Amino acid sequence: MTALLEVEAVGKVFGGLVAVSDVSFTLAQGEIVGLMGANGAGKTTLFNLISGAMAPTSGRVRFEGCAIEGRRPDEICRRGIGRTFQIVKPFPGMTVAENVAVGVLYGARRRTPSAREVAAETDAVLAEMGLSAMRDKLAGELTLAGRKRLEVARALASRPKLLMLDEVMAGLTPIEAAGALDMLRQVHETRGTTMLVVEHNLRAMMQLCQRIVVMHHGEKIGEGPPEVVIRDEKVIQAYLGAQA
Amino acid sequence: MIAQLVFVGLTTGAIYALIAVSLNLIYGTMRLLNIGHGDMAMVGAYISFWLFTLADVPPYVSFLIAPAVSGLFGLLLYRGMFAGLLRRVQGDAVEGSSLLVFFGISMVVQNSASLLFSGTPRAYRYFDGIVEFGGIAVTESRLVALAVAVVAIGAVLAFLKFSIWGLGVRALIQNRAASAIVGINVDFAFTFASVVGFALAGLAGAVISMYQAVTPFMGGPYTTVGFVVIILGGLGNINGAIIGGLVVGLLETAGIALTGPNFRDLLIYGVFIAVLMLRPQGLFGRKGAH
Amino acid sequence: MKAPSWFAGPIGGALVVALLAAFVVPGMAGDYGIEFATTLVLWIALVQSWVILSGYTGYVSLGHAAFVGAGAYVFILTWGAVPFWFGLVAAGFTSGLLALIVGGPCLRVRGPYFVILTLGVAEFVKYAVINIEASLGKFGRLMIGTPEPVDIYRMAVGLAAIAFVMALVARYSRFGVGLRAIRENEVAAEMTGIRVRWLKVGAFGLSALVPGVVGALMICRTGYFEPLQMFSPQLSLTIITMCVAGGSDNPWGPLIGALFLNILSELLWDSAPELYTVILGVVLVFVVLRMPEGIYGTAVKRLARRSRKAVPGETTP
Ligand SMILES: Nc1ncnc2c1ncn2[C@@H]1O[C@H](COP(=O)(O)OP(=O)(O)O)[C@@H](O)[C@H]1O
Ligand SMILES: [Mg+2]
Repeated sequence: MTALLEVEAVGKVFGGLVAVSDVSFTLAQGEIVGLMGANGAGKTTLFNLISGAMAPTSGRVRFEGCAIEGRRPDEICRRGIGRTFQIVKPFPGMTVAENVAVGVLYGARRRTPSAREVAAETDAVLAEMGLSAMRDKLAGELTLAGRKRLEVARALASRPKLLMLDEVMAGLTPIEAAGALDMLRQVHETRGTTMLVVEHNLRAMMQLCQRIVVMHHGEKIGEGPPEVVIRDEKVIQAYLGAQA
Repeated sequence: MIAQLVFVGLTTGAIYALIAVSLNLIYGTMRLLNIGHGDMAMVGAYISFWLFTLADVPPYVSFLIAPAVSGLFGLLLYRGMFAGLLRRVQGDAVEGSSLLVFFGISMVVQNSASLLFSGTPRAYRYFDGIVEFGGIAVTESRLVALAVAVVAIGAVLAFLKFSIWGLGVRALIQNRAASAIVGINVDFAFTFASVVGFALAGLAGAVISMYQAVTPFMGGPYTTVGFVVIILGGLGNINGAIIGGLVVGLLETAGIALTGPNFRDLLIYGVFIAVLMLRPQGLFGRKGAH
Repeated sequence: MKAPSWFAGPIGGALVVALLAAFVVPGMAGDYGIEFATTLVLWIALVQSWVILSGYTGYVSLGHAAFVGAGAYVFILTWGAVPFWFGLVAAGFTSGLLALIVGGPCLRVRGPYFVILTLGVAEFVKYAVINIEASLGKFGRLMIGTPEPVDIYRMAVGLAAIAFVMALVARYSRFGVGLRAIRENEVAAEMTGIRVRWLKVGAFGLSALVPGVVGALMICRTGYFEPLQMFSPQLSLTIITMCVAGGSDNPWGPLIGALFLNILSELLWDSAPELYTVILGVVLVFVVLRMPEGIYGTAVKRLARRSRKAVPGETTP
């Protein structure tokens, strides 16, 4: 089992605020790992550090053995890390199919695909994500559930080796969330994509993830199999403390 | 000599600050980029000129009439156009659309003035005596301009600082979404910014007409300087606009004195570009979280 | 995404139209007609070049006049010293180079900052040229032996055809998809693997080539170079008006916008130039407020909606 992603003692400080502090963990090829923690724990910031949206203040991020921290997001994407945004950012004035085509055209590929390949692969991803019926709708006209799904589709279209999902089920109805969960499992089954998933829905996380990393106030406070982590005193304390 | 230059720089800068503050009031609250702002000054200048020439109304009376007219114009524009636009469009699109709308308005206003009054430069003489004090010699009109600008800007600042409505406007400039939630009357703040923003531009024009020839196209350079200043001071930053206005006024005066009038524009735009590239948030702005 | 073969139609069409325009129109039109046609065709070239950056990426540039002026300036400086064609090409590439140089830093700021910055840079370049000329004791330069109006017209047609094809290819290629993704959401575009900086600067450089040549042809028409006129911000604003009026997400909108405003100008300019500008302003305000996608975009939408209604039984999700 080789490590796909290694996060080594990564930290990020905004002015005086320590958003992420000395966080380390690794992801093996093909794993699905959950990242949990109360709001403000630093999960999205960690995603930003890995995907290149921001440079860490300290520490390393290795992907397939290469240090990638501080590199441009587009380069990191082409190396094989795809992500979604907690606050969704589709291309609102483009159709659903065009959104996905952007991923196909610019994602991790050795050469520029031909027009036919782009069309075929776009169709395949749309079908995989159940978006075929909406392909010619403008992304801005979709419901929240639709836009979240589209974000996953766009990320998948860039053929990531690692897919990072930031609360793709938050704000969805239970039925929509269940649909999203099935879809992610399906993707994992057929593509074997490694995933790092941020989600508050504990039940979904237990079903989906082989391992969970818990953050609190920017620090990693726990890691392990889901059923072990949720019984951890520190984790319970952190969650209860944050809610109180 | 130095004192003389500084004083001239300050009078020029005070008018720039007046224009920039009003421009920033409109931008800060509504995110509207008014590239017709200088044309409102032109309207004020014509009002002052015609009232003086045709009806012997002294300019200091026009200092009340011109802003009343241009403020009314602002009110009508807000009610007729921008209220609707702001309800429909959000985010970056507001800025882009407003720029084009104001460009259209500017074309209409400039060329209507040109149709009505022809392109002939017009000027009148008032407050044109020379005052000397402490080794400085200035025309009365410049002194009056300085005084009017100080009073007008002071009034706006006082309103923003000490009245409850002013607090609302300031909060709105800080954060639109949050303001609406905490119950600030956004419509009032927008109306206020439109009326006062336009009125101050008209006032600036009435003042300028005392020492500069009035033409239909005199507004353009003031618009440009206004934007230079608010970029320097930070878009939406009222205090920054005041300091920025003075800085540009001094810079311009010093530049002309040191290098000759040819280099004035080169200098202003050079500084402007440098600031925008090095500190897009303005000299006095803080970098916002994104 | 369209297959590359899709380009064959419009490109062939543009070629045919250009050939017709170049060789049939001069026979039919008098001197006046040729002047009008030249003006129209130069505007078409300008708007087509402008959309490559500003229409597709949404980085609205108020600096196009700088490229027109820079091209004109280089052309007049090399006038007589180099062959005519060489001067034209040099004009285009100088403007392109200027765009590449200023593009890097300028394109780091967005939205209103970019708009105002491009205006500032254009004005800076204008005053730089004015000062250089003044220090040389020149307040305008004359050119002797410029080409005949018909020949200038034909060159303008060729240039407009090139500009159209550039705008078309830039819109419907992989490059264009990237540009539009930047417009729609730059952060997401970057995270989807798009080299945002390269694309933006590249588009800026491409969009500056044609206006450089337009500048050269413009001074050929008058035989006179005067910086205030060639670097006029009014020129940039008129380009924007044309593109907005027509719609600027593709090459067709600006084409329609340029046609529309030039015909309007033709009808009104001589008798009442101010009235023309007033109407231009009203049109601009109306389009922005009532049909933000421009004449072309709105028309396409209407047609699409009608054809959708016309097919009974078809459901839209
Ligand atoms: N760009 C930023 N600038 C300043 N502070 C930030 C920024 N992004 C996040 N933060 C702060 O960092 C902390 C962690 O935020 P975030 O990573 O979004 O948490 P989570 O995703 O776990 O809810 C919060 O206190 C947040 O306010
Ligand atoms: Mg988060």
